[in-house]
Amino acid sequence: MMENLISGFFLFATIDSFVALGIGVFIGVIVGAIPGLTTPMAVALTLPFTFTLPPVTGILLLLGVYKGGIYGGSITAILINAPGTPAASCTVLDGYPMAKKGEAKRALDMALYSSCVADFISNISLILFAGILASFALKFGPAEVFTLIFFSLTIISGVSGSQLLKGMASACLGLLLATVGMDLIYGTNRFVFGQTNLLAGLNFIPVLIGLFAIPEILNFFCKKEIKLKKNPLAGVGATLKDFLKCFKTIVKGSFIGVILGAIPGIGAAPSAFLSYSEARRTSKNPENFGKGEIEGVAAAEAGNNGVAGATMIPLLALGIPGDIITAIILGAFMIHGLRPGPLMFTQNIELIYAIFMGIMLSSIYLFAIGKASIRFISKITDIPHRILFPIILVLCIFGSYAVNNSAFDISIMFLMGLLGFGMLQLKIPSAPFLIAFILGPMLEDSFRQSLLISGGSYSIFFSTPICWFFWILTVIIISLAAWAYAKSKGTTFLKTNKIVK
Amino acid sequence: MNMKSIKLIKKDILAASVFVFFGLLLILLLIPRGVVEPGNVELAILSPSYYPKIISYILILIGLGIFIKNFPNGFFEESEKIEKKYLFRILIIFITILTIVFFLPTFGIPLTSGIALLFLLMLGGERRPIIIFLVSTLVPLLIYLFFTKVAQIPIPNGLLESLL
Repeated sequence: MMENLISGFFLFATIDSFVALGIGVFIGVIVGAIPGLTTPMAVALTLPFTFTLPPVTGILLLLGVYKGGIYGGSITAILINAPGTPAASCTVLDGYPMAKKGEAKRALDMALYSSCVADFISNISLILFAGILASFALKFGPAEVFTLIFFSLTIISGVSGSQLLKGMASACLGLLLATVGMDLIYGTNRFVFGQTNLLAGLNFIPVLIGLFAIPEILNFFCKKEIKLKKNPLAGVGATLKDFLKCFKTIVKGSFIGVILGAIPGIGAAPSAFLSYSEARRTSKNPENFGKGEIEGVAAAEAGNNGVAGATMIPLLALGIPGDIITAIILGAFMIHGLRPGPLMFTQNIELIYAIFMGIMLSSIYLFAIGKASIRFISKITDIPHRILFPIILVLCIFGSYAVNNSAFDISIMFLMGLLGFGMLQLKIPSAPFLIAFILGPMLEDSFRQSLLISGGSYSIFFSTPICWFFWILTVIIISLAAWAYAKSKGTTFLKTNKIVK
Repeated sequence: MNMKSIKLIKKDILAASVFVFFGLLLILLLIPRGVVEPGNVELAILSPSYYPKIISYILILIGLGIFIKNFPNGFFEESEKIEKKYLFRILIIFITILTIVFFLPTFGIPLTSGIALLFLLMLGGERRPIIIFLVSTLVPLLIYLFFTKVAQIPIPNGLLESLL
């Protein structure tokens, strides 16, 4: 054991590895912060540079890009309401309202702190519990995934605020939009109408940008610039008090991220939403969520960064890539003649230790690079809106095009922008739409796969303790939401009567 | 009644009408026409149209729910009168978007972005010519250079193909 650890340390402790990891995190933060440039795209573009590097250095470079990218997505989500990555889509819910109040630096700081803590917890979990979590993750079949995603959708009741019915309808629209494209079971078209660009479905990025950034820009051009009230927290970063207030939420979100990250195919976005939902449920100020609550930013970022180390669990322990990025990293292993899986733990354990050491260092790099970038990036909010919003629009055009090199995506972005603007005018909350659009494909696929396995019997959704666990949680959350809704209506009724009297 | 207020249909009712209309449109037209049903579907539940149909029905039910919820208080409310200037600005911005989408394939992204920036900066209220000129030329150029040279993403240059 000790011998292997020392060998691993010497494999890792090279200048090349330190530099590669730092460059990786830096590239990741930059790419993640630009709408349209996704983390998988950045990891794929970095892959050729690893061919000539030693295996550990090359893999650490890719891991750095991955970790930096997940955090970087939160920067534009907070500053300009355009999440750089789908994983950061939950961060916009409270991050942008905070930026609008002049608290961008505070939100960015909290996003960084929670990202680093979650990343650290995720890395520790990878090192200590890889085996246990991998075997637990393998128990998740389509029925379990369906109940998990269904439970995640209960957050809609939370983000809809007082507009519960409209929020639910908004979620239905999101679920419907997610069905556009080729049906995964039968391979037939749905809502394609001869438009080949729609065969692969609608990409997340143009939809996210369109739904959140464009309505904000349209609103600016249609109305006069609103002068914000002087906020004492404007320009001030997150304090230790803020961090301690959110610490419990961050730890909880991190573990949610670890568990979901270990399940192949789930990804960071559902984890962020689940963490957010849990934070809102247990918060002393649930009514502030969605209006610029710092705990909301912490929860979302802890949830999505918590998966970063955990997605490596099925890859290293079982040789199964959990998402696109780990699939690319698997490719990097194979290029260097390595095959992740149980055998690697016996044949190349020193290499595993070297990667673990590098992963731990990546959290420190993330903190240092993130902290340095916030100092400059937070100045963006000082640019007058009459200059900033047109620039954001141009960035959105480039970003939407870059996802698939398709001008069609720009049209989709504008179309979604108009839809978002219409929703804003009719006071239909757009957050449920976004949540449903992101979780929709997973919900439908797992629903139909389960029924395919069971021959059409719904009993499959109640067949395992994991399914029951999520059903019970769903019932509890819905009951609590219904109770809170009824209570608020009752209070309003009593207040009205009092006034009449 | 305030001089600047007017009785308008409630936003909730408008939203509910949209939900019901769209739900019906899906069930009666978009799903039958837009979802290709394979011939070998063994179970109706597994058919590609099953899931969208369920959601469409839920959408209609929610729309009706909103109608019922608002029924006791009436379908109209007093709202602020919409200023002509506001409507004009909405129209202008919609036309700008349509123009961008229409000219993008011919003009290319850098040129279209530059022109759009120039127009939007002026529409937004920026009056300093030097700022307008610098922002509308340098910003698209810098973003273009980042995407093409650093991220290696080919951006369509359109009319500027020979220059860039």
